[in-house]
Amino acid sequence: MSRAPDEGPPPSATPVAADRRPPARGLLDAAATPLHPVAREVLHAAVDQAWADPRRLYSEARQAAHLLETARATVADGLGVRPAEVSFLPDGPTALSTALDGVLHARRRRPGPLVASAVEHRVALERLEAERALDPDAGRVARVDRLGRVDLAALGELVPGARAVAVQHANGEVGTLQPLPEVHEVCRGAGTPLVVDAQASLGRVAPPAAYDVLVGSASSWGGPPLGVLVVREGAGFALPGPRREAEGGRALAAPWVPLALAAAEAWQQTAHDLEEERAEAHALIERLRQGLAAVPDVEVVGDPVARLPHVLTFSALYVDAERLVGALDREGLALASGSACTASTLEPSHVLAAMGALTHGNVRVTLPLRSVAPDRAEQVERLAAALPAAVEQIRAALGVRGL
Amino acid sequence: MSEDRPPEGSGHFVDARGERCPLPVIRLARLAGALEPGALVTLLATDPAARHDVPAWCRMRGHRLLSVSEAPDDRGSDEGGSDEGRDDGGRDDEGRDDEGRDDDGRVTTMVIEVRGRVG
Repeated sequence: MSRAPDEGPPPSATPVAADRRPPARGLLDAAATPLHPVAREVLHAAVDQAWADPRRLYSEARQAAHLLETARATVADGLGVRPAEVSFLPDGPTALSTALDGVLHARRRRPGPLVASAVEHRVALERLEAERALDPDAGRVARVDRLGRVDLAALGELVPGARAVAVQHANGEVGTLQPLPEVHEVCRGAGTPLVVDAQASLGRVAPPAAYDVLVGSASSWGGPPLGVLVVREGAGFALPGPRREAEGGRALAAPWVPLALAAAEAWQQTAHDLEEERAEAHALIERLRQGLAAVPDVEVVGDPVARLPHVLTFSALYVDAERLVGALDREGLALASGSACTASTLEPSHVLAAMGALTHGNVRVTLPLRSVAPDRAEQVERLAAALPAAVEQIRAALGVRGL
Repeated sequence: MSEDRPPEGSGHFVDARGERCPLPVIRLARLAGALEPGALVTLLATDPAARHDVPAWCRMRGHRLLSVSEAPDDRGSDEGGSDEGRDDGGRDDEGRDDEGRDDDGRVTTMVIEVRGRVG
């Protein structure tokens, strides 16, 4: 592990002084990050003050119910919807699964497929496959282009007669933003409800407005893992199975109120800083993109312009991603990968595959919010410095230079 | 196109069954680099990633992908590949590789036409 030259005095035999810490670990994977510090304080306080079941009638419970509605109003206001349209679910994927259940069950007597883009969250694509297992015509995948944008012409052919359409706001693996206003127009023209998965984008860019049902996760805006489901008034929505008494009839149980309060606080904090945060993350990623352009046979994946500010994915030809992620980890940098060799599954990332991108040698940078990783600019610098040599060393070891 | 034999006239053959990406692409690149433009190479691979990575590599290097076909992996009931260096003798239809990971039991056969080095 090389030590940065300005790290302080050289190592000595004396006990480590407080100003001579080893370089901090650089977390460049935002899939799970620390809470926003203010949300953390709110969570801590709420554990003592808002623990009660909001559906009981005694005073502690009434207090919890009141706080839950305050949290709901905050999130609804941030998303530009009414509080009654917002439900809290245990996590983002559960919210997405519930969203699809609700729109499909409401239109269960109509024929027609569930249509989803090829880069949707696994929950949506697995639901589509489950529909197809019952009836091969009950699910259709809309292709994407090399940047990961859904093909509007293909979608335009699939949507008329569809039962429901699922398209992301942005892809969390490659950052590409989808043309939602155009997608929603196609759906409205056909009278088909549009489910938008914004699990990767809320808190990073302005929330979308073009949807009938929206799904998010508080973890994307510095909150705890808590799912958010928005069902716009007038969207047909009905859930099968047991009666759901909580959250406007959309959840089996009320959320733990301290989580909702922390999520709402994180929303307010993150929304307040959104423009500054977005601009800084965008510039840091742009710097990495430009640095990577100088490394031979490295393809940056995803839309270079219409993208999430904090996501960068690239694939290095002939490079084994497991080795590359390991080499960067030894440099103190924590990064994700979409290559099969780094996952527990057999298949490489379906997103990379759908885009025709190289699936091996893949590394994904997702910057945590600056509020939870104040040193992220420094970590991006370290990554930019470490990457070319790490790629080169692996290629040398594999004997693939010049191939 | 479902037989795992090189098509007529292809001549060059890489059997990367049981190998994990990026090895199939690396072996293909090594062979292609030694061939004249226009030569045909047939690749057999069982790693699902190869189905995506070989087309991407062709795109990056300017080679042409002529055909892609899939068939069940029938190694054991067939004479199998003829290429150099299959060091995974005794493997059965399960296709279990040396690190204990299953492939999905399908062999992908891809035929590429070599173009001269680009870039």
